[in-house]
Amino acid sequence: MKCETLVDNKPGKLTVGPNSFTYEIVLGSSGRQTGEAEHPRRSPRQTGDDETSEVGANGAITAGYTIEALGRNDFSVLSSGRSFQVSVLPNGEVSVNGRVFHVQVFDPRRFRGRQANGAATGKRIIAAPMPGRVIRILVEAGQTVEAGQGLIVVEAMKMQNEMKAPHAGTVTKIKTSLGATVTAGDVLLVME
Amino acid sequence: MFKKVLIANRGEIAVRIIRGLREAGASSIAVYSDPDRASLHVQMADEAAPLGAAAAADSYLRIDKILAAARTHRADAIHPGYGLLSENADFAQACAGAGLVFIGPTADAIRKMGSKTRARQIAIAAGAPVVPGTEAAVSGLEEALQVARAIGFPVLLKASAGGGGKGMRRVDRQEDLSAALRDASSEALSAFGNGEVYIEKLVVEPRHIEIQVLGDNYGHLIHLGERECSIQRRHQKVVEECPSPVMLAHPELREKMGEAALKIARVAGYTNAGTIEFLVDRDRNFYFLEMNTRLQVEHPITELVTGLDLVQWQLQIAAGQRLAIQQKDVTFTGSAIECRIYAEDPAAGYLPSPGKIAKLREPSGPGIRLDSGVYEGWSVPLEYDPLLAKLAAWAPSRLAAISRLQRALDEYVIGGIRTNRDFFKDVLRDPLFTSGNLSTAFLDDFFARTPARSDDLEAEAVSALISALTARVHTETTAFAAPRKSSAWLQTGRAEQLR
Repeated sequence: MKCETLVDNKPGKLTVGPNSFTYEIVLGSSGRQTGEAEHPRRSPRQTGDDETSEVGANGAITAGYTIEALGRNDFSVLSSGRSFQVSVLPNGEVSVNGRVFHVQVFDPRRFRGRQANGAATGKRIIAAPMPGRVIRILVEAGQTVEAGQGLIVVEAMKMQNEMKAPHAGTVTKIKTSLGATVTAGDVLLVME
Repeated sequence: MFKKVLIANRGEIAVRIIRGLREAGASSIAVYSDPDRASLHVQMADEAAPLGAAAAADSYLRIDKILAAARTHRADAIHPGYGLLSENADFAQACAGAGLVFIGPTADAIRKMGSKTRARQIAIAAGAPVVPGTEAAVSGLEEALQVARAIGFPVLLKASAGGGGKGMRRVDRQEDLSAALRDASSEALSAFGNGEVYIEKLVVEPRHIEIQVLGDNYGHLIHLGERECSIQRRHQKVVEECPSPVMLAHPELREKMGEAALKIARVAGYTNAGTIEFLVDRDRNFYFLEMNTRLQVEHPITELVTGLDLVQWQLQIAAGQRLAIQQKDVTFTGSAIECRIYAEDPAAGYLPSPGKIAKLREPSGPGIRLDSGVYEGWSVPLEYDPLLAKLAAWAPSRLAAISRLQRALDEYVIGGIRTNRDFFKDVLRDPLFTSGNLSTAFLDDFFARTPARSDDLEAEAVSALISALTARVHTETTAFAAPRKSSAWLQTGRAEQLR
């Protein structure tokens, strides 16, 4: 199973096999500041003789895993020997060891195609990563944008967060307005 | 001792008092507004009575309805908790008039200490230091200028009738006084219907330290040491600790402040539990601020460090028993720190975040005390204070208590609503906090100086993995809040796991 993900608004790629999975952040295209994710943010970790999670040069993490379903929304995950307590919450949130991530998963089969360089294309929701206020809308519906181009700026506690285009494409819908108060996960813009 | 006590409150403090009553062998009567019908305090109480519509003015503040419920359920006393009617002298008097014991000080003591200017006069009469300034409202700009020059800038303008920062202005320079006086006065007028303003010297970056007192009806008063509550946002305490780090280095300060607090309580004719708040400057000068004539939100940390149960003593004193503890019997062991867990989003300007608690996993283990008023599945109502719970840790030393509290916060999962849990993790790892060098300005530049939490790529990967396997698939047409659809992925994912 292959899919594309947005975790706290950072685009990623996920490949799930029966016993191991690979997760890779698409570098330089996140809503965060660029230049940050040039290197893997966690070095390979050894928990036992065969229990290594590998972090590749491109920031991909490959790990063996087992899952125990504890209830409808609660799971115990062992990923390369490390234990994670996971709860699936409403509104696309997932708590992992007490840390809450906002996660969206996209089915790549619905996407129209891929560019030669491998960057993801297809319909993309740009969502607010945190509650705040929309202070700038940098594009218009119908506008063509480059990968990494700024789309919308959300401000919370004087922190400005610029949402950037995860890939080159066209802005199809703007689903918010200037000055709007948004909560985490609110759809701000749709692009293709 | 009482047979049956009505608790004129809600949330975690109602739960705390119900527990105390049960331990004392007394029955409890909860009261509730419409949206609180399924709340934890109603479930835990022995009996419960409805008050009416959601707005506090129509329910928890309705003295007539509360007294009627007490009559119907044959209560012999009323515990007011904190907030709501707890510092309402008319309520205390009405209880007495209805033949009910009000578990707290006398209406007279509440009235005296509830007025800022009268409380200040009492403190002065008791020989306690007060912040230099006017005792009554200033008559106009001329008097204001005279006073401000005499006590020295910076000064603070405060509304006589006020509270909560309304009608309050800091003035650093003489030329700003006129405009500030006008603004403070008009703000006070619109907020409280009274434009009177008085002037105080501004104590720069003070600590907020309060002394817990306890007195019986026979003139015996003791203090139970201090709580430091310097970490505040918009004049609201969020982290409290006992002992204060400053007392750890200067234990004589506790004796001095404790003695001052007892003198004030004596002059006020105070009985039952109360708290006297002080500001403490960098040179450890302290100034009387105000008195809270009730059980304090942060009372658990005093209980953890002194081993004394404040609610039990409140009950016994109100029932006419003598306070059987002498000052020399009060000892302080270890350190306790408390975090107030609010349904709010610190990253969004502390915006309240009501809603359904979809997931709740509560911390426990050594040295942890959780006073909670919520449960998984409960919807936090919009109408009231967003305090969900108080999480406190006790340990033999301050640093060990910090580690314990951090550990407990890690265990604490509250899903579905925003809370300030992660904010406390940041506070507890802040070098300024661990240094113990606190002041009420602690949070002023907190967000600017706090480094972002380090990423955890593996946890992030696991969040994506579980989302994918539980088929939280989004397309352009399925918005976030849309119900989850079962997809082929789910079956595939499950099938793959089963192999």
